Amino acid sequence: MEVSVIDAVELLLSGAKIALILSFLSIFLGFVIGIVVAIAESYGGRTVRYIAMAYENILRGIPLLAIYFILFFSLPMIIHIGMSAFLTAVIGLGIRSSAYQSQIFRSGIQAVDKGQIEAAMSLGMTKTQTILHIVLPQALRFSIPAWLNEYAVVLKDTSIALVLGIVEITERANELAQITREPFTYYGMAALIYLVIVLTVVSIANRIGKKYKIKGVGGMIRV
Amino acid sequence: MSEEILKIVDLKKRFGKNEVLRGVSFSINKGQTKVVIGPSGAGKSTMLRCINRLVEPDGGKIYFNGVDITSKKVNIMEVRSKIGFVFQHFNLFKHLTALENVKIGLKIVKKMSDKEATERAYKALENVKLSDCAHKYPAQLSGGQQQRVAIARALAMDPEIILFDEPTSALDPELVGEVLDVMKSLSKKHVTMLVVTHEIGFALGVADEILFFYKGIIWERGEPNKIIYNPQKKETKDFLKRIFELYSRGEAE
Repeated sequence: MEVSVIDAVELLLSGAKIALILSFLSIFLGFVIGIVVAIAESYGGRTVRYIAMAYENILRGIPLLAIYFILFFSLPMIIHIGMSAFLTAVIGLGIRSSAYQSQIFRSGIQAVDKGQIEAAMSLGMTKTQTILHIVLPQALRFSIPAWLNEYAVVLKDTSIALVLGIVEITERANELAQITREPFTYYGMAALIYLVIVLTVVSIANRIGKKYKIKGVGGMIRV
Repeated sequence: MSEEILKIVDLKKRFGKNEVLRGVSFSINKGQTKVVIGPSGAGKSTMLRCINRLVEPDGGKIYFNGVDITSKKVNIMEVRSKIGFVFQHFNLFKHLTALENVKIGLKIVKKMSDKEATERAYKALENVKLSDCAHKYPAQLSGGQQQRVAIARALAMDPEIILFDEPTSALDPELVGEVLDVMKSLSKKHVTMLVVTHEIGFALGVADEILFFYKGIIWERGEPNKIIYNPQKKETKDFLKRIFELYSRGEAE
């Protein structure tokens, strides 16, 4: 069967739009939870620390596919609340990413030297003020390269959402390949779209990173 | 009699089996400069850190303006905001300019408006002769300049006493002078200071008293001239001899 190039591109781009939205929502959800987990692991009391570590390790230990199936099929049987496929995809990808992002932020937090924390405390800052004004602004900057890497992972893993019936880039390419029997063309185009999105996001993030780079502190945001 | 700002009574601290402080007592009056010397491991830094409870003491009392600040009831954050601390490694906030480093405590702890904090921070930077470096980041400053910013940061908070923890030990030799000059001028302006240092010349010039720490207690104490030129105890003599050999610079001879 014949498919015009314009139609094919349009179909793939509609898939790309879904993938982009899904990746942005997931990385944002992962960011919010990831920071909280990183702070809990770095500064929490014993119990809080253990809970945060358990959360992180469990989510890092389960394949994304299994997380999706648990959220989509198992959870509704237990708590009788069904989520839409799209929401499941965002939450699944988001919480898995939060586990990885928490590791990124935790190492960023550890990279801020203890002397600065002592200095902040000796000025009379509370623990919260010290974290907010001294530790996090530096930790987040240290985290940029690893965080960009994590975004690329999240974007590419949006393709797994096809098991939930979400039609994003890969699924569109699948359809096109089956109809036309030209798998090379359409999977190739799909790959190209992922590549363009990742490179665009990385270059935007790099520009932001450069703007907020700490003057005189080594170049850490080359990607 | 002048006003007693800080009084330390029988201060004790141990790390595991290591008894770092074994009962230290002394006091500082308003406007005084006291210098603490002694070999490494004698407990000098630990003593300073106990005073603003960056390290929790195990025993003894610390009175700040007559109030026992080792008590759990004391708001330690408020106490710390009145006790300046200058570190060996400067510990400037690396993501902030010199000006912002000085401002941040004023804004966040003292809740000043941005305008007021900026004015006060500039004044403090002027005091350490660094107003032209206000917008530079720590990594763009020399060690001596960084330490002067750190002093300005402490000064701007209008502290009742400033604690110095070996403020020149991490500096290149040619940068030590500029930091000591600032400290001398503070001492002349009667800023109350407790200084841990090996700079004997500084101690001779401005100290009201020298405390020689050894094995976690004040081993010997007295007027600078007496301690430096006429120490009574063998350990004090040995320590000073080693310092003189290391820094045979004339000023200390």
